[in-house]
Amino acid sequence: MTSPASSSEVKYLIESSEGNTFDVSGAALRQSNTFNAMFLNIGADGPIPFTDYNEATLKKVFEYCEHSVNEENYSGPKHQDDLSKWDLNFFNEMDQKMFIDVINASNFLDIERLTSYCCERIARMLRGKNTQEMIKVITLPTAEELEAKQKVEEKKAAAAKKVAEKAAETAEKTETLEELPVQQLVQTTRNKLTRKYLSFSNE
Amino acid sequence: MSFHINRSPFLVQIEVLKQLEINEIFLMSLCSRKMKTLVQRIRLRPKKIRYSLDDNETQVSVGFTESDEKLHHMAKVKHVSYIPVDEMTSQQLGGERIECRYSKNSLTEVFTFTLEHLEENDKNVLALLQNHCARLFSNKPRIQLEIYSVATLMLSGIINDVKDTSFICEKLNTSEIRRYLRMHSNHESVQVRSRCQGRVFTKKSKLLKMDGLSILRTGAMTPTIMHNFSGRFLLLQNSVLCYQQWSEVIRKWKNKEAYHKLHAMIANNPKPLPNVLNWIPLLREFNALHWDGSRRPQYFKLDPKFVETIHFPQCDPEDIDCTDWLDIEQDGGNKWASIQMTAAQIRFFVWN
Repeated sequence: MTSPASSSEVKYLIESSEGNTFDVSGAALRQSNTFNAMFLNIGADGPIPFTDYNEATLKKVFEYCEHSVNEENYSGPKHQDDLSKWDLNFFNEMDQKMFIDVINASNFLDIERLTSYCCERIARMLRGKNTQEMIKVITLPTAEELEAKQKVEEKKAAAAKKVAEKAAETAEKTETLEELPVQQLVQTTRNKLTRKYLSFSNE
Repeated sequence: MSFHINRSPFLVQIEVLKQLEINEIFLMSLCSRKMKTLVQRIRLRPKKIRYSLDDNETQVSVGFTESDEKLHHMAKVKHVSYIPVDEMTSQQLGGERIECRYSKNSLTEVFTFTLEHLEENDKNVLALLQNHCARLFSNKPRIQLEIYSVATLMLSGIINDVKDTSFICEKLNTSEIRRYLRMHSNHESVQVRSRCQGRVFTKKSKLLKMDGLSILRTGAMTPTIMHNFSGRFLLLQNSVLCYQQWSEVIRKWKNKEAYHKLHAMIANNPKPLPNVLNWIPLLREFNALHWDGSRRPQYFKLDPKFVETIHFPQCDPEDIDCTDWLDIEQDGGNKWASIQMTAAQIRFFVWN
């Protein structure tokens, strides 16, 4: 799976959720702390499975890693305004779904620089907004929605409680009948029948 | 573009919050209970939290260093007499729901938004605000108050554990300061920038027992304040200085009659000092000696607690070079004090 040239030219095969494989340079992969911890020291025979993420997402993540190979070491979050044109294009090209997938993959692969830039981008979406607007950006349920949800849950809980009580009652009755000895059961039935007969004859 | 923060990995949520400014973090903490918990997880540990109380608004700032220069503005809350129904929103604050609205401030303001609530809830909202802010941090920051209006003196009683106060209102009666200090009993320092009127402070006054005290317009009260002060740090600005007063301070300290805890006493005079007083007899009286390079260190370090809590504008917290200062020895002990008289001020520092 690796092409054994010089260490900087080593290529690794990456396997996506679709089962597709593509190669990524060792230098790019080394930006992932997860990769460093998992494979770099023990080596990998065959494709490295990152099967929680699709090919497009992984390719996007490693595109970033390949690009930043020659950049200086990561030294904390960078303000969005300080990003290069390439970086800005990289982020602007992504749609919302891809962006979220890239954050998740970047977080899993522990690529500090990319995760940090993505988070800065989210933080930027929140800047200059009040609480109500922030709730919309981070798609949290509103107070009314939470209240409605709570009411539904309370209703469900009450219904479940009723069902449980009924079930318990039925079980108790059955249990009482089951627990009576046969002789006693015969006597109880006989008494009932006698009472019925007497009431009938009285009429 | 929206983003499901609840569905994103925990580390991403934390990283997003870490990249926000403190006022944005405050607004985020109001979004939901989960967001508030998340804010608690980023473990903010400010050194101090300052509530600035004015007639109709309260500002909250936090400092992550001792210095006032790096104070971060966190929240601005304002009471209004009316909020149109269509603009009103219900907001969870400090464990209760309040009716309020967010008004956007101009770009020149440090706060992007002001949380406006109805006037009748003023007391309650301040208590809820304090409650909310206190729970956001993983430590217990030092609580400071700035009083911009006399009308807020009573309201300030809602805020607990106040350690430092600055009175910034224009005029203030000494009886109001007395009442205020009875309300907040754990004070460590007070700064009075207001013009004071009323009965002078006596030895029994809490103000003069304060560890740190800074008075901007001491005026005619200077001798009484100097005479009765029993704290550690006294800064008198625009004071009226007299030979007799300083002579008494030095004598009492030297004889161990008073000023047992004294760390520093500084007085600024609006008039150039040499024209006011002739210091040579005073220095002779107490056998003031030039520094010989051995009896005490060259640099004096003012306790940063005072320098930063009571707004000490003349001096940075750096060490003060006392090479040219004169030394006075306390009777029967190894304690030394150094005194310096310049055209602008008199400084009397006690070496520990």
